Amino acid sequence: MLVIDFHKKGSSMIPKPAGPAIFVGLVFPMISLYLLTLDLKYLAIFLVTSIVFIIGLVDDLRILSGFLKMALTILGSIPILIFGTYTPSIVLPFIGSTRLTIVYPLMVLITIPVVANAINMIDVYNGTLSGACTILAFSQFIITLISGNFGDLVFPLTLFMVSLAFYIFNKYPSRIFAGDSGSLILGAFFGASTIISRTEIPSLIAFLPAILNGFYILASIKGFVEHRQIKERPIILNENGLLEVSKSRHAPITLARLIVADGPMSEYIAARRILFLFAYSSLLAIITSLLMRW
Amino acid sequence: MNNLIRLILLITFSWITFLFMSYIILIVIVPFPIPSNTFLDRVLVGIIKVVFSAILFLLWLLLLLILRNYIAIKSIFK
Repeated sequence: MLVIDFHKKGSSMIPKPAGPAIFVGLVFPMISLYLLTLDLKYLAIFLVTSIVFIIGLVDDLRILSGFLKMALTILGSIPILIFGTYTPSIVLPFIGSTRLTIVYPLMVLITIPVVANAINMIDVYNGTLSGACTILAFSQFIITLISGNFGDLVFPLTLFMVSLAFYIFNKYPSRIFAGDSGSLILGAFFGASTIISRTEIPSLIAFLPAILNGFYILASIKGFVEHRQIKERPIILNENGLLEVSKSRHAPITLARLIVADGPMSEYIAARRILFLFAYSSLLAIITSLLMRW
Repeated sequence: MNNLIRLILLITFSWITFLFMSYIILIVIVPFPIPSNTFLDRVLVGIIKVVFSAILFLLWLLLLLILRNYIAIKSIFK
């Protein structure tokens, strides 16, 4: 299907969703590794991605409400809990591992929906979703390498390769959009990879710009509202084809709006600035990971 | 100061405060001893631990919201 690229003059039409192609790229290595090793962590991540993909695809074809989408993505956490492919402890810098036997499964239950929907919300400019996922996957690869879990390197590596391939087509000017099926599975895969590879704290730090963006959207619109239902757009396109911040007090104060507040700028520059924030938070995540080895 | 620098400072602040909050939750609140080993005490202390952790997390989010509003006042609504 074709949708309007709102941040371009002349209302150019862009195809979406790229979700099915991203899905194949993510699950093919996982199911192959499961058949070769019979290790349940590959099956769990395959099922997480598949469940969230179905939810995303339904949302692409028939728009789901923001709350229903959030609630349904909780189902994506279930394979990790059923197969027990998690370690109920969190590693912190300087003090090491802390046991969370009862609380950890609850954290697993909320991680997949929160991460998947936060990644979905970062899809604001051409290339921000794919670029952010590429940076996040690369930082998780380095973090996993530092933590010494070499057997789990395949998860961030798969996400990195798929996100990078998608970035080539999704970067400014986009030739395809991810759609909800694409963005939700990238987020769910990152969340599942974080849990299985035991990189919770550093991955969460790398993820800070997405957390801030998601939280600021929720705080502005006061709840889980589908983005099509937001009445006042935070960003407007001026007559020169540049992005300009809306001065309306009713428009949500999002990360994308704060980025453009420096003055009218092209979508390319705005997207680069968001990716710079992800690169910076990823650097902080790698520093945290190094402190954990201290 | 442009907003990109403000957002970099916001992320740095979030990083430091998030680690600090994690230490308080995982070192102080979670291992807090149960007065006696009765079922009621275990449940009550468990609930209190979750409530305290949630309050701390909400305070962290509130702090980030105040900072966002400050950045918005300095840039969007100046």
